[in-house]
Amino acid sequence: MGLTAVQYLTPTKVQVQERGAVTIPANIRREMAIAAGDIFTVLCVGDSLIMTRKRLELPGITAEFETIMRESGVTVDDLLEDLDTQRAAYVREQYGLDA
Amino acid sequence: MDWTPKVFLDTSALIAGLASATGASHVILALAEAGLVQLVISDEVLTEAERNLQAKLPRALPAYRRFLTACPHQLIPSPSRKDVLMALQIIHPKDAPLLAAAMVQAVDYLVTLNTRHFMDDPEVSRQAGLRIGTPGDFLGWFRQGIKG
Repeated sequence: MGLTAVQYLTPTKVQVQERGAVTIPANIRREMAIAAGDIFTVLCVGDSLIMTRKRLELPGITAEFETIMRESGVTVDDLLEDLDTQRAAYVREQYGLDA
Repeated sequence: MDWTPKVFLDTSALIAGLASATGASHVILALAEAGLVQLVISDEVLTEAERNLQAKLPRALPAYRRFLTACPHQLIPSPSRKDVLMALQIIHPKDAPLLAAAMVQAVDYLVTLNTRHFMDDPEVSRQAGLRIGTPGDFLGWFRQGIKG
């Protein structure tokens, strides 16, 4: 599912209320069949917020990574640091290129 | 309008996005799982990521594989030797297969944390005919796209 015309429907201002509540305009609720109690995931992309109905596995998977990394004393930099070596090996195996 | 850009992720961005919830790489993976961008991954990227985790964080391999199952993605095969030789004219030999794979697929964006080989020389992007940038660069471009 990409960004369809539904998502571009009538840009409308909304105001954040007490405790962060926001009312989704009625026409958008109707078009997207949004009802009370529906659950959305909110993604922050710079100064934009994207709400999706999709329940994402990613947050749980990354939390699992972070726990394992903490317990193993491994950082993100550690994970990234030898990728050059992996790449050189792959290129040599697949294409015989000495990189 | 239906706009779902094709984003080719380098191994560095894939691993960073899985291992840290705070960076732009993570947001790209979330957008991909939500179906808002089309994730493109090559055989090379999967091989490197698998080998890297096997060597450094083997306990995380099941979580890594779970993400690949959960997140829709297009897995592309290794490019032909002919395509790689063409890419060799543009970029460092080590990165030629990855660039060739992205060129063959005509992706909308190649996202990498390797600025040295892919971005320091703007000729790489120009000659490849691809947008190439960091995860943060991609999100800036994506934001402009969704604002129309």
